[in-house]
Amino acid sequence: MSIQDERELRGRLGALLDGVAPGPAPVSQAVRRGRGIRVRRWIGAAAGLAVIVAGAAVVPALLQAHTTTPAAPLHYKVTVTKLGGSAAGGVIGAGTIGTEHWRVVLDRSLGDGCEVAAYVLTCGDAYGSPASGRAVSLASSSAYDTEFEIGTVGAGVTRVAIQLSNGAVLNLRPVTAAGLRWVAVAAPLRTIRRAVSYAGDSEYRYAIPYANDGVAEFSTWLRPGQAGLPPVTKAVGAGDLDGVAWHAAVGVGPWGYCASFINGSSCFATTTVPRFLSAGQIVHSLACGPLSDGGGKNDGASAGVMAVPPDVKDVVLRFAGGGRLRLAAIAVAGTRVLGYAIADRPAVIQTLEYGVHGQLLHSGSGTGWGCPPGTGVVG
Amino acid sequence: MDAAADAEFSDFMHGRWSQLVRLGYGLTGDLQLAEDLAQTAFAKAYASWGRVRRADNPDAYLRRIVVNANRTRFRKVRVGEVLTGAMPDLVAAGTRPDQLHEHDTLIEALLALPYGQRAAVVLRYWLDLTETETAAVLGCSVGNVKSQASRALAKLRTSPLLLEGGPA
Repeated sequence: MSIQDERELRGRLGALLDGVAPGPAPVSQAVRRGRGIRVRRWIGAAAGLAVIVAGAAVVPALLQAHTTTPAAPLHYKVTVTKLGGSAAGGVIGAGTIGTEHWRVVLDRSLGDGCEVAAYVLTCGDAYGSPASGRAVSLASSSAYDTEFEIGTVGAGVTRVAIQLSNGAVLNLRPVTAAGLRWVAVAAPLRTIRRAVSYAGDSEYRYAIPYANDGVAEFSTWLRPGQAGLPPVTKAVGAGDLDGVAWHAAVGVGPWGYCASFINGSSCFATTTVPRFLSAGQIVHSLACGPLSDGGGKNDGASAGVMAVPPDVKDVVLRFAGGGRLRLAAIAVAGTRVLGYAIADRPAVIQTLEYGVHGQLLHSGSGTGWGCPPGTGVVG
Repeated sequence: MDAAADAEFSDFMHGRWSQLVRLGYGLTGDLQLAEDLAQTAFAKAYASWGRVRRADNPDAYLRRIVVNANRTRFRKVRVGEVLTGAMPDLVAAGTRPDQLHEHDTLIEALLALPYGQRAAVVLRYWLDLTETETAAVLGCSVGNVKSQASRALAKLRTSPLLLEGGPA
């Protein structure tokens, strides 16, 4: 029977969906996850405060090079517990930071997501993806003053050594769980300096992390002795959207090409000057969702870092209702990029690109800016 | 939160759990995933409980989270989003055997719609939200809701899945 009118559709949808019988409401699980979100929010709020303080000091030139990263702690001790080849109870990493015990645990119920709390990172076993050969894939997370690295390694990787700022080396032996080989570690924020992968007893690759608000992000793996790109990090945008302070940065270096926003970053693995970006390419986007776990009313915010043509100095967004927003394009290691954060309304109706002498180079319709329904998250 | 607030949240969740899961099912065709989406929405509501409990329409807040969370999921796993015709292993309580085929084909037809159209259909024609309320949940204009719902209805009218004798 086909559907001919709205009344018929209502009736059939009602029969379909009203007949679905969910299980009992998992209140305790929702509360547990909600508490985890509140932990992350607290971190987001702290990061926002740091930006406000830094911004107040450099108001005339807001987009200066990032030089305000706090230093690593001077005195700390991290240990890693030997776990054996298979994960017992889902534990794929454990050890101590000072007198505290840290753990990284797999919990199937979390799917491809993670929850982080002080000294404990819990991820769904779908969070990891298979790593081939001698590859290492690491992702990072943080809570309070602790950062976590979790990832998978290929069958040819015998261990991953994590070097810390105090000179200590933590040897991570892969642990098998859910058909993958995992490594995981925790350390105080801003202390992870390098990761080295080994095949047998030989060093195979090493990686220098990009520091995103103190959290180490590994992307580019270099051969032993290979230098990688010289490091340059620049702020490419900052502002406030509905009460949420945001900032964006691009960092090029031995870690590759990384764009970061207040609650995440994206890195391209590269060892050459990255001229591969095309104008209009979204380098990093958190579009179409809350700008930050830190609060605000901008659930439909679109935000991120975008590449622009090399001769563009500014981009002006014109909004329905007459508003305008000028975004400065910043040159970073052969690319020109801008950071932005805009609400879902009013809509962008025109874009104007200006050159270094203030001349209009190009105008566009505004298509692609904002969050049209159905586009989903770009990130 | 204190014990009183926790109890208040528990009542809130118990009262809305089934409807939110059903919304998720209409968007995904997968009961387990629908429960995950609903649980995510309630976890976020718990994290912002002070704000949610004072909101004029906390239900709209929850629905928006479910709709957007599922958009995010589609982006993350879009390579795997291929309709196979295989249905979730679900026989809803109270469903008569002769209704099963009809339900299977309807959910398949819904899943064949673009996500925005599907969300508009479920919100407008199952939850009976007004166009304005639907626009608020989807984060788009009323005009967009009208066009999405209209296109969806047109596609459903001609869907071979829903025609008599069409593919199961």
